[in-house]
Amino acid sequence: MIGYGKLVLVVDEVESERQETAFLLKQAGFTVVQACDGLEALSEMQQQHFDAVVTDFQMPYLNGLELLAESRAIWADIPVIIVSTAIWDMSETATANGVFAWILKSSSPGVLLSILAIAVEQGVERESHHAMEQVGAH
Amino acid sequence: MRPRNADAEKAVLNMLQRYEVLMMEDLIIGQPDFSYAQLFLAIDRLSRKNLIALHRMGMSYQLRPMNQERALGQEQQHEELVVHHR
Repeated sequence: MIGYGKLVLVVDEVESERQETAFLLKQAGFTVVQACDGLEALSEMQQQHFDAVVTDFQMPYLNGLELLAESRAIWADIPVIIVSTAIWDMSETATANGVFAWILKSSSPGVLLSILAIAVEQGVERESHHAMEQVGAH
Repeated sequence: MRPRNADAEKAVLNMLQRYEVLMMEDLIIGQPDFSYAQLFLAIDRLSRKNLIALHRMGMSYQLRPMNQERALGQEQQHEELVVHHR
């Protein structure tokens, strides 16, 4: 299971699509927390650390890019994956803003899961690097 | 200056032509000029165009060009036919 023990926040205002993504991730072993918009997502992120965030782009209050920017103030390292319906032009902007991945909503499940596998692996490497630094500091 | 997103698709396809099968991690390491986001977007677009296929391999994913995927499928079908005729 690629997601075993890993916590992912899924943000989408459309409940059916949010549930569908959550179901896919749960099947891959991830523990999933759901939020229906950017504000609820930020509130969840203030309460706990997530290994990755998968968010829709078009949402009320905060769009995916705004959520990415706001989330950087809480957890700078969390990989944020934005799923969008079509706006390819925005992908360059998103890349420049530090998005981990920008994919289309109708992507094959393998695309999202393969990206999450890399995101989670990077997180584990980052944590062990931090731990090594802390051991070295003492 | 970073190369543009469209160049990432060519880079992924070129790498797959050279190696035929690639782990996602190897692709990322092999293309340091592109950001993760650019490479992931390229993978998404190429899989949507049916030019590449993704397969889970343990804790990671493997990329294959679709022509190889079709060849493998035909080979399997052929083997099944041979077994069936024996």
